[in-house]
Order: sequence, then structure tokens, then C-alpha cells
Amino acid sequence: MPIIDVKNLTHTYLPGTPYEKKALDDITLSVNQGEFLGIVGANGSGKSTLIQHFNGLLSPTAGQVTVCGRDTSVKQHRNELWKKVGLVFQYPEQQLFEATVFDDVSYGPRNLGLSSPEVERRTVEALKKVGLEPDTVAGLSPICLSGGLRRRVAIAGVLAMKPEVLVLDEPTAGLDHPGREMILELIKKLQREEHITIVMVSHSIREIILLAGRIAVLEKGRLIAYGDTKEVLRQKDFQTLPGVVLPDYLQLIYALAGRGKSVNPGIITLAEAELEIAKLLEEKDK
Amino acid sequence: MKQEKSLKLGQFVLGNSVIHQLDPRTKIIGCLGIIFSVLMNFKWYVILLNISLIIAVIFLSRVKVARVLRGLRKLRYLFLLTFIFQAVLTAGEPVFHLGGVSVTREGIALGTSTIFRLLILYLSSSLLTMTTSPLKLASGIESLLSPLHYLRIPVSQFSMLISTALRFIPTIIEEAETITRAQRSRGAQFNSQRMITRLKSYTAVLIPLLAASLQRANDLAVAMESRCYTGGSSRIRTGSLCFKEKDRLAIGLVSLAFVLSVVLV
Amino acid sequence: MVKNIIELVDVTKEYSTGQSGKKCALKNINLAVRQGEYVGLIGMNGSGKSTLARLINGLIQPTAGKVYVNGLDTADRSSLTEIRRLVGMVFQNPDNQIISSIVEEDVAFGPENLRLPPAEVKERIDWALRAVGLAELRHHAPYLLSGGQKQKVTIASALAMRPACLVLDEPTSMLDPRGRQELIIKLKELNEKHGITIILISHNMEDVVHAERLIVLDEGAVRLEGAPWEVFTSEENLIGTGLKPPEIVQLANGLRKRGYAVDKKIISMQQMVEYICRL
Repeated sequence: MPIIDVKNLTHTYLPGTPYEKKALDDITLSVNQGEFLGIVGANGSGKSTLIQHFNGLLSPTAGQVTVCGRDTSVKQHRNELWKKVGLVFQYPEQQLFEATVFDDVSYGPRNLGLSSPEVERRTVEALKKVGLEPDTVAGLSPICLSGGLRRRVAIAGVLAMKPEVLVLDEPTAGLDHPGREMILELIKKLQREEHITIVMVSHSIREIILLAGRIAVLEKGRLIAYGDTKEVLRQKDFQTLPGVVLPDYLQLIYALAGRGKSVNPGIITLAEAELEIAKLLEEKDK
Repeated sequence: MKQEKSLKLGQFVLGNSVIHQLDPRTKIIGCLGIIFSVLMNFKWYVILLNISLIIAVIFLSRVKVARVLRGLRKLRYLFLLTFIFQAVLTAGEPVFHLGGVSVTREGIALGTSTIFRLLILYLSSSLLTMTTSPLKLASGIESLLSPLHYLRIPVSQFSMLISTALRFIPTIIEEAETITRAQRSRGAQFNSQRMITRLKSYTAVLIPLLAASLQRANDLAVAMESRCYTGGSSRIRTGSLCFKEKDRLAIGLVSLAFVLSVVLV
Repeated sequence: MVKNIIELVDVTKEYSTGQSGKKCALKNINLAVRQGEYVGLIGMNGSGKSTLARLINGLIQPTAGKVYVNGLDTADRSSLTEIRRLVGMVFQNPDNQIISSIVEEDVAFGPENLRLPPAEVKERIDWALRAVGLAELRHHAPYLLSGGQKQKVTIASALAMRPACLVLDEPTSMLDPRGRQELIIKLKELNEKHGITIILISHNMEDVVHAERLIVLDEGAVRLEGAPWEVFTSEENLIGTGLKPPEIVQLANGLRKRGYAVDKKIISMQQMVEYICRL
């Protein structure tokens, strides 16, 4: 039984009014325990709407969504899902509100009704996971920290709840290069060491293909590509799908392959691309 | 383009109707005139007169009636409570009793007229904001208040304040919605039985909203300074305000209605 | 003679940080930008680039040294209006720069502050909106626009003042890839077609590939300066700054390390494809 099971999900905002909008149209996908699903799509494709179905914020207009074995059309189930599914919104640092870092990170665990020692334990653990030193930051006010640090604090706040599923909406948005790498490393580590199920929404194909085992592409509410990452990448028309902006090195390899050069279009990383070009140049030398 | 996920109360609707084309000052005066009429005189014929006026405006403005009435849904509890209070607390001839309190005939009459007056208040101000772009509205207010300039009151800065606030209402509402969703995802209980939990949950939304607003104010000030804003006096608007024939006609009509409302006791 | 539209002479900017501490955001900067140039200013957060941006149009004053815009000193208060007319600014957050509820009226804000006659204002709005390609969104409310469209509105609002120069401080960092691409293309067009000087500030190297000249800031000082290809391929100098060259250049650098003589001037995917196919 997949941990997230979506069957023919349709979601319409403001139904029955002149502003009615179908944000999701007949989506079917699933995520198994421990898997990493990447969701890609342009603005307005329905990505944000989709992930809100995973933690019970929204219920389907039609179709069925089952998360952790619970049907989300039941209000009772929806109200409890936040305990199992942690959702990190875009620019999560904007939601920090407590007086100290410790208080903000422990907000979630406190809402879970855990004992004080347990709340403290989890908070310290979560701070360490995001690479922050609890003794140093715990007493600081979140406002005093830089953007990148605040984002880590916000993510720690969700991790402290120890969710079974972690959903991230554009976790690297607005960050500079080192900041992005740090967050991606953190996510990789979480997946490797804790085997949490992860769903990540991103504009960056580069990040998705490096992390996700499976990928789903949304366009105007419809699922236009879905499956194993490497297979979806190899799809003929993948490059031309709206919302898909391939990293330069991949575009390079595909362009060369298209011109008949012997390069392997199945590569994923920049290092692999470099290797392929090196091989090509080696042959030319001969 | 983004889609409206929820409807905003009294939001400007682009249009080219007679009402849209009226000078904003005309519409402000009209709105105020109607409001004062019904506040000063409770009589049913005054209410009828002003409701007719409003219906005529709705028709002329070509704003969809459904849109106008939509906001009423959100106010239904206010209307209901008002009616109940008036019906129950007004002294007079009892019509029936309900659990210790008596509902009087005068109370029902007063309750009904109060609801209509609230309706008129809501409709006239909604029509004003629906048919007047926020900036035109601000320049109308600025123009009407400009005599206060002689009393050293900073009218144009005040007007800038209003139009900026109006511009950001949808943005702030959306921000509040996002933050609410984020805090709900961490277990904030906005519908809790305990007052303290609810308050804490609202704090979790208000504080980030305030912080974002302060940042925004700072950024906006920088942007405005960069575009040579010096808080100066009345600025030329694209298509500067000037009264035309239809404005004079409209003001005339509203003045007549106002005088009638005051005089007909 | 092509004039310098922006000139920084021995500029230092210090901030006091609470308990009598001092932070030096910029140290002895000397910089000149020619009229019509397209300059990319790159550096990590904290390198001083935003401070530099705000010095250029007189929003802040240098602690030492002088900033000249078209020969006008930013320390001279009476010149500030003209300086701000000459230098249009675009900042990072698309929402927090749009003042009005209607695109058209926001674009009118600048010209109206300059007390121009209504006919002139209208003409400038028309031109500015056409220049950024948003003529059909004229009557729209900003909150319904995408991030990329909002940034274009801000650019149009700046253009309506007929600036000689546009300074953009991280304009793409909150945009999606499509919005970013469109913006970068639009900037190139504004520079080539309309001769507007562009100073693009970014921490993203891919944004500045079209620039004629790059300036790398690191901890308040100019670390490196040169044509994009020169800066990108100068790995040893970039290392300390935390900046990484565009992926294609990283690829080319890697190939050169393996012993293949790849032309250093290749900085785009298209150029690389052509190069390899020609071999």
C-alpha cells in the first residue's frame, strides 16, 4: 500500500461561481514508503494545490486521496494528518513568529502534545539535523538571523515533528549557490539516513533529477509526465514540455546526441556530462 | 497569471459604465449623502427612496448583482444579530414571548429598518469601491480634503497612505492565508474550544504578517524614493479630475434625495 | 567621447552595528560605467553589492569617497531628483515595488512625481509598457500577475522616467526559470535596442552571461574584473568568493583540466555545441 495514493484527483476552487477554476484535473499517482517524488511544473500548473492534499489542508472535489492509510475526504482524518505529514511551504522563514529559535522549532512538537523533555530532545535534534548548533542559536531571536539560517530554522520546525512524509515546496527558492547546496545536502542526508518519504516541488530540474527517484510533471492541472526519473528524461518530448527548463549541460548532451554525436543521453549529473564530452574529444583526437 | 482563490470584499471591477466614468468625488459625495440620509431618518419612505437610488446605480454600473450580493453572505450574522437585538430590546407592544424575553412589534419594525439601513450602508460603499479604482478614489478623497491643507493637515500624504493600503489588501490577505496554512500544518488550532489556543494560533499568523508588512513598508519607501517621490502636494493623475455634465446631474439628484430625506419627517 | 554615466571614486561605506561595532560594507571602491554599457556585478550575499546599488542613486551616502552620476555628486541634495531620474532601480521583491493597484497608474507614478504634463505622462506610459512587452496588461491589478510580469512592471515604471541607466539588484532571485529567462532577454534588448546602460547585480552567474563586463565583489572589495569569459575561467580567483561559473564553463574548465584545449571564450551551451561539432 503506497503511503500516498492519489486516484483521479480533481480539485476545483470556488465551484459554482464565475471564478470557478479547475486547479487539478484527474491526477493519478502514488508514492511508496521511503521513495522520493519530484514534482515539476510552471507557475499555475497546480503543484501547490496538489501538495496541500497530502497533509489534509485540502479535500478532493472529485477522486480519492489516501495518505498513511487515511482517506482525506473524511474531515477527522484531514485534521490529524499534519502529525504525520510535514509540509514546508515556500519561503518558510516568513512564518517564524516565536521570540526565540527554540520556541519556534518546538512549536510543532508542543502542538503534538508531547512531554517537555521530549519536546526539548526533538528540538535540539532537529536543530542539529539542519546544521545549527543548539547552544548557540536556541536563545536567539529569529529576526536577527540571516535569510539562509532562518530557512534552516523553519525546516527544523517541521523536522522536529518527526513526520513520516516530508513535503517541500521549492526549498531552495531565493537562495544563493552555497545556500542551495546546503539545503540539498540536508535533504539528501534525510533520505539516506532516515528513509523518510519525500515529495519535493521544484522549478529546478537539475535538483529534481539529482534527488528524485520518480518525477511527475504538471501542466495546467494535468499530469503530463510521470514515472521513473531516468525514463521520463529519456522521453522524446520531455525537453519541450512546458515548465521544463533543463540544465545547460543536459541540453548540451541532448543537442549533441541530436546531431549524431556518440554521447549517452541517459546521464544525469554534470560530472557524467563532462565524462561523456571528454570521451567524445578523446575519440576525435584519435 | 494567478487565479483569484477567494473573493475580496468590495474590490474594484474594471468597466466603462456611466457610473465608472463619474468623477470619484461625485461618487464619494453620493455615497456619503445616501449614508447620512438613512442615518438621520429612519422612515420607511426614506429607506425606499435610497434603496431605489442604489438599485438604479447598480443597474447603471453594470456590475453583476451576484457580485454585489456576495459580500452580504459574509455579513449575514451581523444582520441577524442586529435584528434580534432590536426585536428583543425595544420596548413596546409584545407580539410573542421566547424564553423569558419578549419580541415587540416596534422591535420588529425597528429591526427591519435597521437591517435595511445596514444594507444601504454596505451597498453604497461597495458600489463606491467597485466602480472607482483605488487610486482614483484616493485622489478624489485628496481633492475633497484639500481645503484642510490650509489647516496644515498633510492631505496628500494621507491620500498616499490610503491608496497604498488599498493596493496591498489583496496581497496581505493572500499572505495571511499562506501563513495560516503553514501554521495549521504545524498543528495550530484555529477552531479550538479553548480561547487561549485560538489566540495563540492567531498570534502565529499576526506576528509574521506584521513582520512582513514592516519589511514591505521599508522596501516600498525605498522604491518610492527612487522614483522621486517627495511627499508632495496634489499630483496630476492620468486624466485629471474634472466635473462633467453627468457629474453635475448626479450630484444634483443625490442632493435632492438628501434634502428630501432630511426634510420629510 | 563616451561619457562615464556612473563613477565611484575611492568609495568606502561603513555601518555601525549596535554595541559600538563597525562593519565595513565597501572598502575603497573605484568603478566606472560607460554610457550604454552592460555591466554585471556579482558577489555573494554580504559582498557589498546591495550597498553599492543603493549608493549609486543616492539612497545612501558613502562614508568616504564620492559617487558621481553623469557628473552629478550624489552628496548634493539638490541633484538627487535628477540623479534618481537618470538611474532607475529595480529590486529583488517583485511585490514590494509596485505602489498602485493598476499597472498603468504605477508606471505613471514616476513621471507624475516629475510634474510632467498629462499628455507626456501618457506617452511615456505607452512607450514604457511596449518596451517591456506588457501593453495588454495595462489595466490589470498587480496581485494577479506572475513574479516575472511584476518585475517587468517595475522596469516599465523605471523606464517611464527615461533613465540613462537601469540598476537591478537581484531581480531574478524570486522568479521561476521562465520568468528569469524572459527578464534576462528583455534586459539585453533594452541595452541593445534602446541604448540603456544596464548594471545587473546578481549572485547567479548564469544571469550575467550577456554582460560586456563583469565585476566581482568579495567582502567589500573588487576582486576581479573583465569580460565574462575571463572572469568565469579565472577559477583560482573565484574560489574564495563562493561563486561558481555557469555549468557550461564548469564543464569546459573540467575538460581543460583533463588536458583538452577547449576555447576559453565558450560560455554558452550553443557555443559549446558549435565548437564540438566543428572539431
